[in-house]
Amino acid sequence: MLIRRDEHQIDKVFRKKLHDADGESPLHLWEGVRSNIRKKRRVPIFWWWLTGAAVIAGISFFGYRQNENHVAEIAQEKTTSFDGNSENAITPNQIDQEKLNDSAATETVDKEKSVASESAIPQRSSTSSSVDRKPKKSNPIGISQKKSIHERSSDRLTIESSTTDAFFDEVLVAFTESTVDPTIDIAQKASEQSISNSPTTESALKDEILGGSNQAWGTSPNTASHSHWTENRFMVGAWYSMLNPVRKRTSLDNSGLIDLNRRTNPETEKGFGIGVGFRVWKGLAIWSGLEKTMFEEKHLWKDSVDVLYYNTTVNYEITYPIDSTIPVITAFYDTTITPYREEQKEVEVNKYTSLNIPLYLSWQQPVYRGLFVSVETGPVFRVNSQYKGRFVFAEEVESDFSNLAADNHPVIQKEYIHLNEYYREWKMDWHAGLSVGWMGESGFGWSVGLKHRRMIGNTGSDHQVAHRILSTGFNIGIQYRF
Amino acid sequence: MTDEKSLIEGCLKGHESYQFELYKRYAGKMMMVCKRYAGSKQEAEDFLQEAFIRIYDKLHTYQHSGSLEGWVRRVVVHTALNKLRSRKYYDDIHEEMPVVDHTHVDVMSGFGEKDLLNMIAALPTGYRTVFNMYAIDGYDHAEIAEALGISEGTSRSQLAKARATLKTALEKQKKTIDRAYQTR
Repeated sequence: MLIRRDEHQIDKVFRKKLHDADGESPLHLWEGVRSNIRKKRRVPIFWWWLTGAAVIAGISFFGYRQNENHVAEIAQEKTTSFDGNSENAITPNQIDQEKLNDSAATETVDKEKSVASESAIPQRSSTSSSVDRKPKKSNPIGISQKKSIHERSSDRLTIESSTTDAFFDEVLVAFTESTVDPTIDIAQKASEQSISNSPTTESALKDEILGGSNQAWGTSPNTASHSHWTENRFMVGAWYSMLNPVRKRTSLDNSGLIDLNRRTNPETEKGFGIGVGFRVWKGLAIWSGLEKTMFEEKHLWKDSVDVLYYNTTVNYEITYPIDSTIPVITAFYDTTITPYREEQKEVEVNKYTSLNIPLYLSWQQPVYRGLFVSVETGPVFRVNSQYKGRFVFAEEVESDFSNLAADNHPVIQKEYIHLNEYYREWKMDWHAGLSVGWMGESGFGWSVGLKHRRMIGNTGSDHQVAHRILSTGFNIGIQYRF
Repeated sequence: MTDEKSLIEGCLKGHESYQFELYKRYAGKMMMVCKRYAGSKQEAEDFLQEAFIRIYDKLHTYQHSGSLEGWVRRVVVHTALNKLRSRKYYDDIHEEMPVVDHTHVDVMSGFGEKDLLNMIAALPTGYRTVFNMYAIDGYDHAEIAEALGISEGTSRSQLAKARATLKTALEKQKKTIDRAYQTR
């Protein structure tokens, strides 16, 4: 406590009494403080998550672009090595130019001619039957590869050629029948043949270039046909979930939260969502979308009162004594006791609805052919609403041992109070899922799996009893990769 | 009882039990501080709540140079001042010439905390704030002037007036007590 030399008498009086005055801690204010701290703490979690997701996406996209360039470079190097002379390496620009220029075609044919003259007899390769077959897919690395293949085809004609009369005949026919320069046709056929033999996907090319041990992710003898794993980046999907919500009820008091009980709800939480995904790296994808979930709880309270109904009948008997003329009236009371049980019932209906924005990270791992397993986790930002309503009805029922009088039918009175919005609030869940599925060659796939959601914090915290909802259940989904 | 260091660390990690411990430790004292600055109990509670939210938010800035209680008190006082300022409670502070204060109080300090708090609460907001800051919380006039956005002269004059008002109230109260003793 600071004491001034010039301290005034009044200051001294007040300072002495009030500076270190201690009162009772106003514990009832703690809840307000606590909820405010939690709110403040939650906001950065969202932004950190969003930032993290953006960084991952950025890095992955950068890596993807780098990889694309790298593959193109490798392809170009491969072309050079086929030529055996780095000076003959052909750039994509040159190829474009060449493609448009007839003279280039002629040049190629000249080369063919010189090859033909050097080699004994040009031979049709063993896969000549596929000459007319068009490549199934467009070349992912562009014309440079095509050019390299073109060059390679020439080399193959030179090096690998052996005698086959059929091909020679075909060449002769082309020479005689074609109205255009037949040499171009030969070059085209050779080129097409080469393309048909060449790798048609980036992954396959990479595989050939880098060797079998460096096979691209997602491709294997069993999964190679599914280029969706390696080539397609975008996904759209829809899912339907059936979860079993367990509501952990907590009571708010000044010492924080005290668990009261867990209430397992017999009704399932049903949810439907649609979303989009982006594959950032190998099987890693970011998903987001919109989901609507809903579940309803009914709580029944019973209160019974046993009531005894007395039914008394009186019978009179008039007798005349021998010595008297005055009649004697005797009353006989016959009492029947009928027990009834009156039941007061009240059904409280709680309807929980949420509009959710999930933000998942998922990993889909191809296992065998189209079969894959998938794990996913991430936050679900949700707007929770709870509606409350109740049925109240009283019922008179016959107890097991009673004799129900004919005129005492059970009476049922019902009163229904409509559902009113109880609260609406922003909350966050943490979601985790594990599923298996099948991805077809068309890009369509489906999955089934398990799902678990856990509420971060409490819902309805402004009320006397707060809730934390944990849900576990099944999930089915469809997706399309493109 | 948790020591101060681990209490701070626990709060910084966001552990609710530590946060509650900190609250329990200082809320009583700080409520008294808030009561001095506020005009009503409700307002004091409002100040306290806001102050504690700020305490948890700014706890990472605590340098361990002074006592934690002193730091908490400063945050509480500044929060109260901010709240008062936002509500324009200083409207009744006017630039005035300093008044030389010759008052002398010859009263026994036999008053209870509640009596004194009531006397302070009865002061106009400007008087009350300056008196609290200067006389009880140990701020000097330069600091008060800066905190409230007034001149040092105004601060002095407000203090003098507050003292004079309190002196009158104290004397009146003392007379009432004396009379009560005499009549027994």
